[in-house]
Amino acid sequence: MTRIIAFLLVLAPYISLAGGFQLNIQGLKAVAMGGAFAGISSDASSVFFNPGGMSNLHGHNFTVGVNIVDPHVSIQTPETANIDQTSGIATPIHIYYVGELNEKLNVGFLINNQFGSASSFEDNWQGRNIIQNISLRTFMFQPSLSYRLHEKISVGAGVVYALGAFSTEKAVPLGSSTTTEGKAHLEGNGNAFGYNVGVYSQFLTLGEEDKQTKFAVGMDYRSSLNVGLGGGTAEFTDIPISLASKFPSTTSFTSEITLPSVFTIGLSIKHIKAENWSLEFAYDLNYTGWSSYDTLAFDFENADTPDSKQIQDWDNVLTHRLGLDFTYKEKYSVRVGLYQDNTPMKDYLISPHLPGVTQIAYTAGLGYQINDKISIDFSYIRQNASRDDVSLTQYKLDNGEFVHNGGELVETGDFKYKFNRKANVYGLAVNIKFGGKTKEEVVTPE
Amino acid sequence: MKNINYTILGLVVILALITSCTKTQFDEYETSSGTANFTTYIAVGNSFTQGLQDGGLHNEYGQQENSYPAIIAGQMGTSFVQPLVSGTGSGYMHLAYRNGEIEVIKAYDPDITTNDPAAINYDPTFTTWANKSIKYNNLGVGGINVRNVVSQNPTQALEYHIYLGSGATAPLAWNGVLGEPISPYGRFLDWGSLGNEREYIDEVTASNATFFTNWLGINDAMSWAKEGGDDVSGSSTQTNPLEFREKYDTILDAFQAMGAKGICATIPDVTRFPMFTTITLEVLEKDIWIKEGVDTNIIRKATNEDLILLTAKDLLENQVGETMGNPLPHQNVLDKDEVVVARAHINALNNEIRASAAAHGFFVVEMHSFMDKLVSGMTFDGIDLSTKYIEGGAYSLDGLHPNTRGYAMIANEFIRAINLNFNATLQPVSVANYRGIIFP
Repeated sequence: MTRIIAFLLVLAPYISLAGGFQLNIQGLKAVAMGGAFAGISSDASSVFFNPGGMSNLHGHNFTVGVNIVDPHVSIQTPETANIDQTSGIATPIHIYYVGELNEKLNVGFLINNQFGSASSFEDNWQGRNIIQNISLRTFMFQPSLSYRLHEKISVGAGVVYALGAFSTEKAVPLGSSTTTEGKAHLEGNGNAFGYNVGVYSQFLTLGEEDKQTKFAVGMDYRSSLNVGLGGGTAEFTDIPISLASKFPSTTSFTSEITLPSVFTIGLSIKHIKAENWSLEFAYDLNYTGWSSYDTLAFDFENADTPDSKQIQDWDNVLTHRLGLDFTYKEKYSVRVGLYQDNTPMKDYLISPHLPGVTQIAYTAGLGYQINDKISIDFSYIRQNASRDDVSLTQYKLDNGEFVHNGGELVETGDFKYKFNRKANVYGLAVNIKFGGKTKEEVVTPE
Repeated sequence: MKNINYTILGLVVILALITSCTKTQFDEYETSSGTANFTTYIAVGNSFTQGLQDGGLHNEYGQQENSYPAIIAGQMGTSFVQPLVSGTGSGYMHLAYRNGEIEVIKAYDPDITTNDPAAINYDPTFTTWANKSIKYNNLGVGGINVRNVVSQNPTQALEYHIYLGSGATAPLAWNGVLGEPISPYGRFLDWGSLGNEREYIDEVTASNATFFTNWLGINDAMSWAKEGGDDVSGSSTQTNPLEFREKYDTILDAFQAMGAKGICATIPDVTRFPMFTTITLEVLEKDIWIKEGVDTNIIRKATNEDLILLTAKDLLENQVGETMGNPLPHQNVLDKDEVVVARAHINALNNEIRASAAAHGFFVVEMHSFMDKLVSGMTFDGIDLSTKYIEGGAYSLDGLHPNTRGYAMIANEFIRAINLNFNATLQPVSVANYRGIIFP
């Protein structure tokens, strides 16, 4: 099992998509529609977006998807005209299954990468004493069950098992006659349990058989996940011999990263003109509990090694997501959307590895129903962000504790910079369905 | 199938278009001199300007090459000639790792027989280290006071010449050689001969500066304080503010006459430097007896307001100061009254600097308040710097002079002031790229 976990973590992608380090690319119909899906639940990704909506699905539904995330980030400081992040392309995946047990019960399972972040800079970059590189990889597994309470209401729940792997590197500003500085490399992993609960209701249908308008709402809550990184390994290299007891070649550390809770309310309205065409509108509101990301701290086992702390002080954020889907002849779909991505970070506490900004991102996508069993989805997200007045404020630490003066933290400086960030995200997913009722018998929204 | 082919083709075209517009790079900076002219940049000052650290002038790891004016000149893109020492230079303090402890090894002292075997002596080339016929841009001279810049009478002229030029008697000469000056750090300049002395002001006048920085004045306050506030020899008196002002005016007159623009820096509060703040009663965890000063015979227990100097370290290790009968000598303590005097004197001199600069239309960079911030600590590029000895990372082993990283921080403060006052766009440097303490 350990070997499997280790293997999965090596495979786990780790990238960031602004708005913190949450990867809002977990279903490609949703991605194409601005990420709104809690009120739709028309494919197997409902196990993630709203397990209550799994009851809509009949037969066995599989979705396998991958995103290609291609970020480009440049930074400018007063001292350096241009610094490019060297973070590469990442490919987070999602695998979903929803199966119908009987009239009332559906089961589901998911494997995906809900959070992740990876940034790196060249070895000699100006801020290497703040951050050289950092990566967080996660893998989530979630067995789920949904139950149809009533013709119009279903509920669902799943247990989330999360694996997290974290690593970071930064310079240690201590030199000798043969070295100009040392390096700290920290690596650890941990796991956490959480849950995902949702309720879904397709509460109103207007019109006749050949011309219908359907209204649905969904609510979903994914709990926070407290990933403890106990027993992580810290390695210090290129440290002057006289300081080896303070920064030994190897020591262990403990830390903890809390992945935030996400509460979502979603609404969808779908107008169907017989088998000719349909137009679907969706809106989701996310409330993400980023305030859980308060301080990133590392406590080293070696008593002489100064503990490291960086204040994050992120805020909870609301995200609005809007999407439209136009489907022709139940075969060709065109989707567009947008979302307002609110940054959880305060302007004066933005680390250059994860420059975030409140922005509107645009999404688009295509769907193609090849036959009764197979369909494919393409999606695309474009993010453009620039800011010229952000900084990472530094606070005085003494023996690993923040120093206060009159109740306030003592500031010692700030790392000021501008940034440009552009990201393209390309998604491809295949949906396979077999078994279950024939199409004519399906009564719930598609 | 045809439809799929078109779809794929369409996607490929769209992807190609999108991918092509991912340029995020910022344009390179363009440096401009604004209203200043950096063609000939001249730096005047003392050891801080010369690039001295670890109690000596040395360049084995680029210490002297990275003096703060050299860093500034690098950002100006102007040529900046310095009298670089070779080898071990003047000799200097360094750290050794012995029996699991980091030890400070003093520079080799030719006058004593108890030098550490690892002590670093001056380089043989140091006695004549620089070609006096070259015109240097860095006119920083270790040990120089504002009062030494120009003499008011023949006696002063002789005194300053012996101090900086030549003619000291053997016991006073820096390496005990008859006829050498007391301070070796001005050897790169031509001081004339006894009776026909050239003075520092003559170098300034002949400099043809278009731009200058002036950080003279530190020694006028620091030399007194670092010797425990006692006038033990000619070098360590506090310069009288009136004389200070007169001679400071003379320097600025010279720059004004050649049409140069420039900036003057205030004197930092040297009593906050590690030299004065490292050995505390809290660290010693015992009572220490001190002798107050030459002008008083008071022997008393030290209080937290008395500043025990780093120079007392060896004495304290030999139990000096533990009994009333064997107090710490007055030159190893800046007692609490002397601290008040030192700070008031620094403030008085800084007022003269500000007034003199204003009268000449030159700007001032407030190094006093800037370097005070190191007491609480400053962070640059993620590196924490403070006045803590060695660990603080900003000062060199002598506890008075910054190390290279500290000088880079100072260069940036000058650059900030130059940009502000001359509408220039000099780029600051990345402090992280300069060496801090060199650990064994």
